Amino acid sequence: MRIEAESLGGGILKINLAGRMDVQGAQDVDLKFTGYTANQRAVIVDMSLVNFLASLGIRTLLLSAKAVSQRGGKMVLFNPDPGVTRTLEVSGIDTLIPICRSLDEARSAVSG
Amino acid sequence: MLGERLVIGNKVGELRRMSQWLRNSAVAADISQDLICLLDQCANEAVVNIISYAYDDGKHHDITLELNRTANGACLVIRDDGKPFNMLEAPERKPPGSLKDAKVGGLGIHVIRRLMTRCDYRRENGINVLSLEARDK
Repeated sequence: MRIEAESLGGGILKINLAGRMDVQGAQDVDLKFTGYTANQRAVIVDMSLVNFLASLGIRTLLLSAKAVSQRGGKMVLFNPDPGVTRTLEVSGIDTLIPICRSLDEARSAVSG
Repeated sequence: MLGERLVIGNKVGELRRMSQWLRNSAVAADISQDLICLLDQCANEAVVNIISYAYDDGKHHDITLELNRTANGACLVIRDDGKPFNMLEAPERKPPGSLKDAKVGGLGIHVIRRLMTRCDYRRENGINVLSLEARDK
């Protein structure tokens, strides 16, 4: 699984994930993900190239979202595919970490 | 009809081989990709639980998976010789009201229950037998 981070300006960090976020995938990115989100208050996680999300991957997302929230910030998920969206919905995570379908929507959500 | 069958060891490194087998078997058993995606998700959750919690002897154990086409869907049967565990008896997960209250673990069983049309468990001659059934829409 691949992970990279880019600054969108205005204090917004975009984390791009790609691949299969199963147990192995979550282990691949867990440390970097936590490191990238440390001290951030506005995080957009681009999920568009993630083709599988297991509950261990959700754990990675949830831990960082909680940490960002505790700092008074916000983390959102950008454009997950239909299969990943279904997993987020059945696990109830979509009610805790909002799903945004456009980058503009995501920027507004984390800037608010 | 005899189903497709796979035996894996109790290591997380086996999970991707299992997922690949499921996807290959879908073609052989004439099962839709949508159903296989559901079963792949639930097989990952169930087998991770088995690997993580069913054994405490540090030894190799076989986990057997069998995939069958049913009249209106597909059924995956997972067998392990670990400690008796009926996931269907696990308490329902309550939806958290906020990020602050959200528990980080325990999502796997919840996801299986929500995605599968039917789940059955039985203990048979020292073996846990979990059947996961998904139906065509």
